[in-house]
Amino acid sequence: MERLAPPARMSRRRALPAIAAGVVVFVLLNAGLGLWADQLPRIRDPYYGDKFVKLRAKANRPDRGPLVVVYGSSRTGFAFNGTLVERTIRDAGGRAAAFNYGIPAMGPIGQLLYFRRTLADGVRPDFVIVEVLPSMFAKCADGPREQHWMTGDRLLRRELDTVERCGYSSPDVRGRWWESSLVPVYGLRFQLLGRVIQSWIPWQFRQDWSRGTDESGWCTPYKDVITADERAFATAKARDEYHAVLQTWQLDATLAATLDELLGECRSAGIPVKLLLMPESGEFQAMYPADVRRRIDAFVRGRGVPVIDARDWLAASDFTDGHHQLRGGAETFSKRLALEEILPWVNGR
Amino acid sequence: MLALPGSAFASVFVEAARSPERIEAARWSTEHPYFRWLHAQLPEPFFHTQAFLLFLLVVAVAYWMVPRKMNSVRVWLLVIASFHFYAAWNASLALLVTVTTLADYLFARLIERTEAPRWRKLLLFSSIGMNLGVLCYFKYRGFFLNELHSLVGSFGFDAGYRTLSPLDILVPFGISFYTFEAISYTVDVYRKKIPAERSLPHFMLFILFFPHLVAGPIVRAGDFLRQTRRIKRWNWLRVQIALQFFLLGVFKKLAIADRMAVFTDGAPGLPGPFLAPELHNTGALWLALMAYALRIYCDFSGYSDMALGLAHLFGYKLTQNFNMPYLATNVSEFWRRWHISLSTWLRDYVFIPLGGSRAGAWATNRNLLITMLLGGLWHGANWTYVLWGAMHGLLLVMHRQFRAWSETKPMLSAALQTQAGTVLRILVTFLAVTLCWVFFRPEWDKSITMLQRLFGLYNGLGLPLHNRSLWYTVLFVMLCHLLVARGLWQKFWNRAPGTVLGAGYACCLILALVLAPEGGKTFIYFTF
Repeated sequence: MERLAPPARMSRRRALPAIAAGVVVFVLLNAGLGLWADQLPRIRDPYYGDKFVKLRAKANRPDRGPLVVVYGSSRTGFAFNGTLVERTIRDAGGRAAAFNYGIPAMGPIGQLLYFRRTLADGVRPDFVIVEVLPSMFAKCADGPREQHWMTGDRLLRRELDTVERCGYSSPDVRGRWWESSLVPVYGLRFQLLGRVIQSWIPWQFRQDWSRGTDESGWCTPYKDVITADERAFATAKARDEYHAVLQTWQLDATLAATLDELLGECRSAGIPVKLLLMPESGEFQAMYPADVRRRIDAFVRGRGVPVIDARDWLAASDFTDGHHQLRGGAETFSKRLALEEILPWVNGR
Repeated sequence: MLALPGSAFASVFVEAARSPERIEAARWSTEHPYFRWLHAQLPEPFFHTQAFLLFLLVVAVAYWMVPRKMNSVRVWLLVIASFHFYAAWNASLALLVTVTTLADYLFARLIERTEAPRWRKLLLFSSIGMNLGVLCYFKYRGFFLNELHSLVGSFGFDAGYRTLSPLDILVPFGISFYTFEAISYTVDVYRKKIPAERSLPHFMLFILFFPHLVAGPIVRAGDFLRQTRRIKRWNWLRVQIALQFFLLGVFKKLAIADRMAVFTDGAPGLPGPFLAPELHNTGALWLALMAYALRIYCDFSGYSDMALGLAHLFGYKLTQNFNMPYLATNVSEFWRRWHISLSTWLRDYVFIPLGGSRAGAWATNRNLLITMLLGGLWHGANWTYVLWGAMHGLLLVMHRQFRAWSETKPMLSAALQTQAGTVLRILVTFLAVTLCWVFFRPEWDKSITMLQRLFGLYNGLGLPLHNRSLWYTVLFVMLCHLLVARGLWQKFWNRAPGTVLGAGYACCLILALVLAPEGGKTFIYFTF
């Protein structure tokens, strides 16, 4: 490969056109891709875009009932089986279309942005359920935890002000947004590779999660059952991730205000909304000290909307790691949510 | 330092073992605000960063704005820019490099002026002693002190100091490279192969020139100083060639080396086979080893290509450092294709002075082993690197013996020269060289664990990433080698219109950027 050096006889007249052509092609390709990415959310934010295509298909179904959309984290992503919810409601004599907008590491900021995007892209849910993931409301010295996942390259320009108001580091988020807009071949490389050759990206950086979900946005759990060792390993990892933040949990007022903003916008749009505390195993719940649990309860119940407290709905064997559900857990959870919360809601419409 | 009495000599080393934190603290407290600002502008000495490209743009524009008749101004400009490039990382160490460079300049001038052989020799050894002393102090201090510590401890005594960790010692980057450049210069002046350089800025540029300062290629004074005097004219062809070399280097680094690093080192939260060999299965370890062979080649040759391109932008030609080394048909040929500037340096300044191959088979084999042991130690202050050098030395000796033996077997010799025989020799050489890479890192226990698990049937984790991209990359590299080896690339080059070449450059850069993994890895050879 070293002998790629040009031959000595290479014409000098060729040099300037070669450099100019290189610059022009590079700039044009990047500009084109940047514009395309701004027009097509599936390029800039595949988490949102890939699910939105499915949501729109569901919303456009002529015989669908009221559309219920759940905005949440990966907990919701693995738990809320929309197809099963629809069937359960249908069997009970009702009618509804259910969609799961659960995205890994999504908290109040992402939920607000995704709700706004859904409306802006022409789909109006009839009912909204918003998952409250306590760790995502924790006050952190370096800003909201969400900024490590919902990064600048996934955002639209109009959303930058919102995330900065929510505590994102301005140089980081704007820098990353500009990078993804000016040199999208680099700034959006994981999104682009994820569309073509997902296996080339380490799983931590893959953004094709929403593509693998079913038509209702449900991410089928990877396994139906797991061994005790696997559960212990996964629970220990969850403990590593959450223990410290839950032990010292303090509510971030800015993030609480972000949730209030989302609830307010739902009300303004005339969309009924409920908050949802997702199921957790006893071992996981033990990570919350009593006063932290009290503060979380007070925070959730003080938002002025109905709260679905599903924390104790499932047994430890229904989870992989104490908070992500296995298929059996997802079935139990989805059926109960459908019958106890969604059916009365849509029937009372 | 060598002139110190024994007790003072020991106390210097004891002090060195105790004081690195104080040295660091003192350095930061005395750092001039200007250098702190400089560090903020250019925090990493890597060529493929935005900050460096901006630095390069400023320096290149300023350089070519200077009228060509004012060559000394251009040289000074490059010297100052190179000093700033180094000082942005560490101003104190930039001063150290500058001071030793000045000393070497003076030593060489004195050697040239001195007629008496004894004084000439003394001056030569003073220069070599100073350079090796600085190298040993920074690079080998920890290694020697820690070995001494454990040796004294094994006899039940307390060494009186604590062992040093790599974090205790700040090794000036590029020290192994510029030390060898300086030594070769004074030795060549002593041997009267070249005259001592009269111009101080020209000599300083020879050592400090930023494209080769950090990780080579190891340039020779005879090649470089001649170029400093040549008048350089601006033309677009120079820029195109520079761009081409630079893009090739960027592609090798981002699209291949850093991608292969995912297979060897893993991703965040998922240590790869090289970091945790005890967790991985045998198949994954073999694949990771192949990935490492590709990674280290593209990492270092990519850096060298970038250095060549940058130097070319200013009108300087550096030594070609690699020539498709994995196409070598034996280990001897491998060393004529791999890190050429180091292997020729070792040949000229270690192997030949030891007697080379003039004094019979046994002496030749001994000289080969000594040369490669020193080559291994040059790479890192650790027994693993010494063993790596010894393994290469043994391979060279075995190859010499095999070649001598096979020459007495005409049928075998003929069979090895056929196409199939050549492919077999390439594969065997690749396998041998690749197995040696197991020891090319400081962690002894991990190397041993990896070697054990490579030759067993162990269960464990697979590769951190699907192996499809590994195989495609291997195929791509093989294809590129074939295109170049068969001359097809050169034919294309001669005939392609400029616009097609330009589009090719753009595609090369885009592909490199798209395939770059998260968090660019540092260059492996920066640690040497």
